[in-house]
Amino acid sequence: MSFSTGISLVIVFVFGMLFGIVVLDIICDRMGWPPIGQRVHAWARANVWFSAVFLLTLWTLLAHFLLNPVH
Amino acid sequence: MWSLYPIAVLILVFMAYLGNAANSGPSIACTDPAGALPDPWIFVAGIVAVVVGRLTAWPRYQDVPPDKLEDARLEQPMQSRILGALALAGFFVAAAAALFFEAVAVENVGGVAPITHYIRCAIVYDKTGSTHGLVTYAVVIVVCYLAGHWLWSMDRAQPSGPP
Repeated sequence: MSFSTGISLVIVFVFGMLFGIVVLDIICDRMGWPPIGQRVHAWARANVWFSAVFLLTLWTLLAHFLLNPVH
Repeated sequence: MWSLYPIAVLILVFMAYLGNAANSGPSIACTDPAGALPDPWIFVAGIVAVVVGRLTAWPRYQDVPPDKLEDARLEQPMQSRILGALALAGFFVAAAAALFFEAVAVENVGGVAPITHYIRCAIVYDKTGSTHGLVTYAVVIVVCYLAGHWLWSMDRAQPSGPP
């Protein structure tokens, strides 16, 4: 796979996830259901340690991507 | 909430524009002669975004008496619960697909590089290109803001069912 294709796939993956969240929020809003954010928020409150692990994983990945040179 | 429609369109436009721009990038090798990475400032911006997301969640999510929490969960219709379950399943399928791709790349099968390499290359070409790293900052800030807003809540509760 060429690097341009790989970079395009990364872009589609990241923006596709964000687009999916927005579409789900639109559906929830139209149907009068709790939005995605509220559900995740409720889950995080009920599972503090799991959400802490998620956040630590995010920070670790961020550091992994940004604080290392391209080899 | 009509304001969500422009956001959805904006995300699609950005995805198409950036995907197209990436296709005009390097096809053989990824190098960083300018030393665009490591970049601690984008990392710091992500940390700040997480904290801002946490702080802005405080006025949004209001206190709900504990005895009302269970009522609110029961009031949720079955379709809403199904949508939440499907969204969660979709997230896990996407995560599993990414991990499968990573496993294949790490084993050096099929001539693909690990996802990390593509992400770092995307950051390098964003920083050294015409966008000067703004796309990287935007994506990192949005993702970290949402993580802080949703996962690192202030000490408050609100009615909601399982995802």
